[in-house]
Amino acid sequence: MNLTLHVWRQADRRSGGAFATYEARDISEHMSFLEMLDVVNEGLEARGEAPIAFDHDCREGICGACSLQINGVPHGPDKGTTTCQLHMRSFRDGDTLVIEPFRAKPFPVLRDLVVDRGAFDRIIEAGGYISVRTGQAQDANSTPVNKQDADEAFSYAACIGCGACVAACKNASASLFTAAKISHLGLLPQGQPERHQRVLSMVAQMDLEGFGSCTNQYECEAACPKEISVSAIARMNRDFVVASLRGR
Amino acid sequence: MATATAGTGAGVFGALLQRTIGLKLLMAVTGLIWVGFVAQHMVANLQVFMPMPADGVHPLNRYAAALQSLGGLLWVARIFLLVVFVAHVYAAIRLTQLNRAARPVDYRVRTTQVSTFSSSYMRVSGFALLFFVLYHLAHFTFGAVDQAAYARTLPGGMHDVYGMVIVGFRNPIAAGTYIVANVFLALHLHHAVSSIFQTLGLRTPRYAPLIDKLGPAVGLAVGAGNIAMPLAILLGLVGQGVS
Repeated sequence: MNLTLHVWRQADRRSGGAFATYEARDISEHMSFLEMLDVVNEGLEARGEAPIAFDHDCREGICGACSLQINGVPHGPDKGTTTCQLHMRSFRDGDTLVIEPFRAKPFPVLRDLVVDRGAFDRIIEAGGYISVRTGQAQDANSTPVNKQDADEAFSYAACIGCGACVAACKNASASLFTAAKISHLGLLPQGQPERHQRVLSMVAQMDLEGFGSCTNQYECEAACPKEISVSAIARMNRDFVVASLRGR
Repeated sequence: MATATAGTGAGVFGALLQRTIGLKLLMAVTGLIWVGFVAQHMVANLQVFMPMPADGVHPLNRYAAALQSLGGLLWVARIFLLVVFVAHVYAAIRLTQLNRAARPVDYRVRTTQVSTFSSSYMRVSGFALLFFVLYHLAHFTFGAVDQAAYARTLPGGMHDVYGMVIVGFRNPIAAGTYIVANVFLALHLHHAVSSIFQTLGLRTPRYAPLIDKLGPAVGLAVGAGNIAMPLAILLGLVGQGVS
């Protein structure tokens, strides 16, 4: 299949960027989206041009490295799928694709389609951890967790921190990411001692980074490759109110 | 101890407003208060559909007189609603500033997947409502739009609110303004009411399907109720006896 790509090109953090148009020829429908870009890059390198820079690592949909806003949707059109697991069969021969970096003030573009998602790391550093000793593997079984809480916590723990929620949000809000991290720990007994301090610190850091606020449109949930529910955000808000009233 | 608690209370409130979630909570609570007011305002005004009793004092006039008899309490309520309204607008402006700053470079293409029409145009409907509230107050509360209708009294000296409303809505421009404004109100509530639950952290997975239907239901009910009044009067279905 043949496609026309409009790709954001930007030399570095300080330079201005612009869209460049490339023809992707003889693409197999079995290729992943990133493999398609690899093919385009081989062509660019053969012509002596700089390849398109994009983030990728595991290419198995579990690391959270890949990104890309594809025709206005983070990770492209397939539901619950990262860009690396998105296959070209999801597109049609002759399609025109607009490929942009995830856009948010806290996600500065480093080069082309690569953005710095360090803001997420700093939100985690602010409180996305537990300080209690959890013992050896078998000790986990000595702390009972009811099935419903375990399942819900696990659904939030599935967050890979890719930033699709921020990219999809019209306000570039990091609410779903922050809430998933807060809620996954807040539902488990090990997360209780720091529960209130955690929500206050992580929410403060989220604001400090310059992310927008949640408008409850739920575009984040629709874009999330791990299909994390916005119930996490309701839970975060609830914990935030309780923690604020308790004053810690 | 009491002083310390009071200080903490103000401190908590101030600290809350430093956070986007705090501003959203302010938005939700002030919005909820206005949803409550708007709903009771609509239900109370539906009295306009009641037939004129034999004594010639319409139930709407009795209701208006009862409200007026509250005196100082009425002004407490009015000032409370005004403060709540201003706080709602303040939260909206502040959040909009923060949200715009969060994405200085916009996408060339942004495709929404699940956003509703109402949620995408909250600022538009909100602005429309702001101007409508000013017009509405000028019209029926301060009588600046139609002074003759506003000055109507019954033989006993009672303020003829019923007659004022009937005469007011016989004017197609006034009635049309109210009808259009209530389409905006319905749209605003369509997103707002469900959104309040999510912001306050009450939209749990179990009740989410119900809560998501509540906004559209309240929006439709309030909008339809409010539109029915000017429409019925404009079409001459209500208040034929008023001259």
